[in-house]
Amino acid sequence: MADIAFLLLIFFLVTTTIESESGLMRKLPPDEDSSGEIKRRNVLNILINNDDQLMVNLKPMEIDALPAYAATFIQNKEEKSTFPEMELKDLELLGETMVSKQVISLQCATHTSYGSYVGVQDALASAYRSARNDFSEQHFNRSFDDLLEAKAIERVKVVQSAIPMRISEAEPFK
Amino acid sequence: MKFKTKRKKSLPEISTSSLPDIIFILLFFFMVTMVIKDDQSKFQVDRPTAVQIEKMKHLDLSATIWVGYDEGQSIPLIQFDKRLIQVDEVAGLIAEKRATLPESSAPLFTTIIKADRELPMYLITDIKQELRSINALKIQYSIQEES
Repeated sequence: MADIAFLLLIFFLVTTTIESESGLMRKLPPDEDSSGEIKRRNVLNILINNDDQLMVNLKPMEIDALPAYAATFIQNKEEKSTFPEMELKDLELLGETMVSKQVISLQCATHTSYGSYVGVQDALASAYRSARNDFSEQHFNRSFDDLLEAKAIERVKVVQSAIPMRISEAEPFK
Repeated sequence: MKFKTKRKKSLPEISTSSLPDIIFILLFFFMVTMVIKDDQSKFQVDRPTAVQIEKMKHLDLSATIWVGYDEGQSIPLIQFDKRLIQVDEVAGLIAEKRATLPESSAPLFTTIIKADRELPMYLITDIKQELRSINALKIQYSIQEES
């Protein structure tokens, strides 16, 4: 009896793959999306050309520098005039708080490689993450990662609505 | 008076009568947790890498699209459900797949895009447009996990 069970066990051990799908989750905009005009200073324009080179607000940039630059853009703590406008937003728990009207626009060329596109998406995700960490530390004295881990859903939602992930994607250019 | 000293204090043998039960419990555990992997691509897909990754929660509410190249070829191939398809078939097939799920879980439906890092973006954009046209908005760019 035990032998048969052993055999079966070994069979299952060998064939089992504990599967987990990991990757970057994104939500596509609805089909009839017609977003209005956005002021130029509120938009961080990222272009990736056919040779996978980056252009951020009309200046060439290396991918390694993007997360830090995008994070300062998203927050605009110094209220620079070339960075997004700040507005008072009524947040739960915090009341009226200054947040920026940031939007990130990402546009590829037709022959940009998918790998570098995912690289930029990843860099933007880490920019948002560090911006959220900053905001959360400033207002809740805890990093956003901490809040996520502690499942402090209320505060997580506040931070998310203060710094929403706004990445808009335009059609690829030639 | 005579004292009887036990010379040999031999260890009692471990009973093995419960062994089959233990093995069976293990067996059931593996049977229950096992997922039979049946979504293999017919071609090599060298997925990109990333750091800020999230794990999928509802694997049963997802469909996978493979996009890649056949060895040494330069024409991209798209695979869904073990067969090769054209870009314009994506919307129909995904909609069909989504229709098999209960209506309440349709908003959670995620399309996993397992694409090769060398692919040109226009193809990925076309696939995304197809998905937008049927309102299947949740997507995941699958990445290569470093082991």
